Amino acid sequence: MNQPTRKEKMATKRLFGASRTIAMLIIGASRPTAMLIMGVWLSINAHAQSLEISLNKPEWQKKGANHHLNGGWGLGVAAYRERITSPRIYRGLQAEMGGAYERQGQKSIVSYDSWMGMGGFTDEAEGWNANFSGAFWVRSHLAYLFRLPMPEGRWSLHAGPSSQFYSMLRLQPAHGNASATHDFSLNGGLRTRIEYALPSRSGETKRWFIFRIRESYLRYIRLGWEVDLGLLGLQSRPAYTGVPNVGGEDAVVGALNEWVDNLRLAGLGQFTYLNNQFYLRYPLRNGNSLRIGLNSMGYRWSHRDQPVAVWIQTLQMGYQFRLDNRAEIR
Amino acid sequence: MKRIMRYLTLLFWPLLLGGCDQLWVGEQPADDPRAVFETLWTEIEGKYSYLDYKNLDWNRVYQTYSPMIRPGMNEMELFRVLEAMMNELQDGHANLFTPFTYSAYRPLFLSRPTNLDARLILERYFLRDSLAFFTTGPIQHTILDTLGKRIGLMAYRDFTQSPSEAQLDFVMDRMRTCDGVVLDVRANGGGLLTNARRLSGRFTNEGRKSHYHRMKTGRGAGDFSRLEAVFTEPSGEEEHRYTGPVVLLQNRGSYSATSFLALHMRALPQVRLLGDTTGGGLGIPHGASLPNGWNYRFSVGQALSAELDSNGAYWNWENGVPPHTAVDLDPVQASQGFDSMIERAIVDLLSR
Repeated sequence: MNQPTRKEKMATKRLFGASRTIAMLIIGASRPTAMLIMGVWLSINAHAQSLEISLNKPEWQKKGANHHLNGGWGLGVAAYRERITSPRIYRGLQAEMGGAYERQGQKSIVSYDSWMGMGGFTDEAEGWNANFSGAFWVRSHLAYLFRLPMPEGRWSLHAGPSSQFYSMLRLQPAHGNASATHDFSLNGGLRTRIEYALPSRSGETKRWFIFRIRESYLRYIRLGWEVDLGLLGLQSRPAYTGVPNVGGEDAVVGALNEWVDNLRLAGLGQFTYLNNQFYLRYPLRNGNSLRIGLNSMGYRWSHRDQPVAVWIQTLQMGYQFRLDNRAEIR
Repeated sequence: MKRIMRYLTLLFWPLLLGGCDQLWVGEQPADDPRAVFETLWTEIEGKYSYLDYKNLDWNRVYQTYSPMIRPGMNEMELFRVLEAMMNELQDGHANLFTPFTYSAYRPLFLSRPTNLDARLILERYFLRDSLAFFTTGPIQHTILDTLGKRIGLMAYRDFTQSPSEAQLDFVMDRMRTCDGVVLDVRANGGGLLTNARRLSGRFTNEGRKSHYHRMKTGRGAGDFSRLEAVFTEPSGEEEHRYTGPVVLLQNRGSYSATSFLALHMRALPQVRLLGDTTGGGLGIPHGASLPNGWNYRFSVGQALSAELDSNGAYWNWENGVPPHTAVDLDPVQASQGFDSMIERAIVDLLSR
């Protein structure tokens, strides 16, 4: 897990050797010179100690799991086609924000993320015929991934069950009583994640009296590819005409009734939910990291011959906090 | 592994570049006149809720208008063909909207007398006693002293405008001091259904079944949702309701949500409908776009009577809600300064 390489062990030995030599030189030097040499020595020695500590974590620190909390935002493009109200494809720009929690153990990963976004769209009709709409959406994923055997090296592979929730609300004022359409999808499926961890020494500087001490840790730049696929789930669409039965009840109650009336259980092939992500995690201070991801989500569903297709692609950037001080698991 | 990753990277490179939305949602549809016509015709065939009720042969309509569509026709020519096709539905809720104009089925109200002289009402009734006249939100109201009886006169001409609850309270508080109320919704072309419900609910202390409603749920002629009973439910606080005798004045221009108001009021025993049959428009319309971006709407719902007719069937209100007492505006009386419909309503109230 966090075993020092031969090169790192040699570096540690060299640093300790250098600090011992410097300590001997202090004898006989003038006071200011001795202070200067002492400062250098302390800095180097502290560096060496911290490096050694980071490379040889106590046993309790090697066990357990890493906990990460992630927050970020994203910008991107989105497109949808809602056949109930238009045969045209609406495209637009979108922004989203979200967060994630991940517990990475030696053999498994528990991961939860949730993103909400909004965007403005146009149906790209010619000239003044163009229509505009706004949309809001939420998507969340919960997964339990098992570490699968891989040849020793920098690659790791995880796979396991996941659940996905996605819902989008579209508003098109020009469509009167059918101006609000929605999708709802709650699925069980699979997630796979393949990750490449590139070792990287990360350092940070701390103050100790008047000295600045640099500590160095072995961390990993991680490149990953993750795919979520829905296999079975509940899907809901607007009514056949896009208009809730507002004749008999309050509009909100009518909309909820329609939502329930149009709820269907569907398996892979009848619907498609795919969330694809490429990501980079770059280590920063204190075990935290910068996370950059390219996320693409696609959803398709057809009920009563009224298909819907949604595509949301986002470039995400977030800050990932480490909630523990254990050795980093990769 | 490196080789595998190289291939996977190549495979998913388009994802990184974006633009793969076309793979997922497809291409924009053809937007030529033929595609626009076919889409509109197909949508009406599959979703319009009154084809059977109006005994419309939609295939015949296709045969009539399809030959008029030709490549290269300009937007105005296309609009006129589609407008004529939509008007075959004879439905005020069947409209085609373009940036330069919209279509409407006008014979619906042009075939009957206007039955309204707004200036006459303002001058001879509302301003008869200017101190008694108020305009509270979208509602004009006054109290007429007629043969020692206090008659409240309310006019609500646009259900797209919503009064606040406090405004409705104020109006109803005044009406509560009256021996009878004339509620004038002539030429109210509709708007928010909730306003019809809120207003009718101010005239009852108990819920009463008004009508049934259902929506189209599939392409088949009989594909409708289950019947939903619709009730006239009390609204507002009881001390702000009026349950005395009421006459609802309506004309052919009382359309859509106003026809629903007529249905709600008709369910109340102390209410009489007077005037002309309403314009109908009791099929809730949906809206959508055509391949060229134009928008349209047509009815996708139906309102059916709460009672059964002699054949044991519900009857359909699409052609309007008839009055209990049919009265047209008498032009002779109008020239003498009298609105014969309001006068007839007052007589009705005084006789109760």
